[in-house]
Amino acid sequence: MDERCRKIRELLSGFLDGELNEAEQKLVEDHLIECPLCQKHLARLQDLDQIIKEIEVERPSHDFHLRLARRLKQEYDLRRPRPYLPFLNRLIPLAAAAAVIIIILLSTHLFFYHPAFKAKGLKPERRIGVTVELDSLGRVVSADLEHSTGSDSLDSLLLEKIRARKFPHLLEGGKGFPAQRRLYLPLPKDTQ
Amino acid sequence: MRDEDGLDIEQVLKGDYNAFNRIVNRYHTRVYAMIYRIVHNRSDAEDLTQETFIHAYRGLKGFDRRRPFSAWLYRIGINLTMNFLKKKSRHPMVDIDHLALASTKLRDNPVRYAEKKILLKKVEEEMKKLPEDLKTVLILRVNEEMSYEEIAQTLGISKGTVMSRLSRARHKLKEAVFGG
Repeated sequence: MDERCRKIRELLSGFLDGELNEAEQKLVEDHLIECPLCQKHLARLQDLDQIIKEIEVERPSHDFHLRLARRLKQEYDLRRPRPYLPFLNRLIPLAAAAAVIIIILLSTHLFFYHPAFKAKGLKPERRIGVTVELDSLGRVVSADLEHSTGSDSLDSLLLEKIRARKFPHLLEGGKGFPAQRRLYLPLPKDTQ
Repeated sequence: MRDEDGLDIEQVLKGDYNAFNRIVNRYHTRVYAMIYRIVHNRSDAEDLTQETFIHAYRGLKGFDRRRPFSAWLYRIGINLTMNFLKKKSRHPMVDIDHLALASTKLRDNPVRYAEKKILLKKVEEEMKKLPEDLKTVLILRVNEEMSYEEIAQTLGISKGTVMSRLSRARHKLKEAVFGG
């Protein structure tokens, strides 16, 4: 095979498909007229195309279409737009944040603002715990400071004030008397 | 892009799933056949065909509707098939008894029929040996009858590459089957 035939054979595939440009097309045609070997080569390429087309594809299994349809249905269902879901999804973090805030506020309120502790805004260290025993009417039977204020007279004053008060609202749900309760009292400013 | 493809795609994007079923009905035979010719295995071809349509459905929003839908769909199928073949340690052996042979005329001529049967087997075996990139181009041209431009679009390569791959594929096959 000479160099000219080699070059032409590189173009034969494109020639077979009609994809050569005009100049290439003419070059191949002119060569084929005078070259029986390249004609035979082209004929073989044509045969191959024909044989490739005749290689049969095995038919899909009988339930293939059904399986394909089922799989697609799953996909459709999975991706079907759910109008309320995005709205709910946005609400979930908001609801969680709100719940956390409520719990914090509630626990703070219960801890710092016990019913007996009216001095809102006082820090924990500016008050003193008192254990009281109440009778059935909420009157103070006995009272003990959690610790001393450091001043005997102030201790007495605080206990005196406590004993002078009634705490019927602290008896709710309690059983048996005297009922023991714990209160917090604000300390006077000069003791801070 | 075929008008019916464009209309159906529009409908699918609006949430009409039946429109995608119409697309599947239009293309599944061709997609299956193309993949089968590459993998030579029915079960694998069925799975890959299924995956092709699932991927197409998922990616339909991103499809550039100025381009041919079939080329886009085929590209998905070919990419999935190539990835599948890469993952396989070795290609499956094929049962070639299923080969259907030519026309009744050949059946009427037993000698010719036998010759043809041998030739078909030989070509199929040699096709399997072709590198995937050459084989794919050959299948798209010969079986799918795509133009070079369509093949280039489908595979994301240049027309020149299509031409050179086709030429190499045909000459390799010709040498293997008929000799130099």
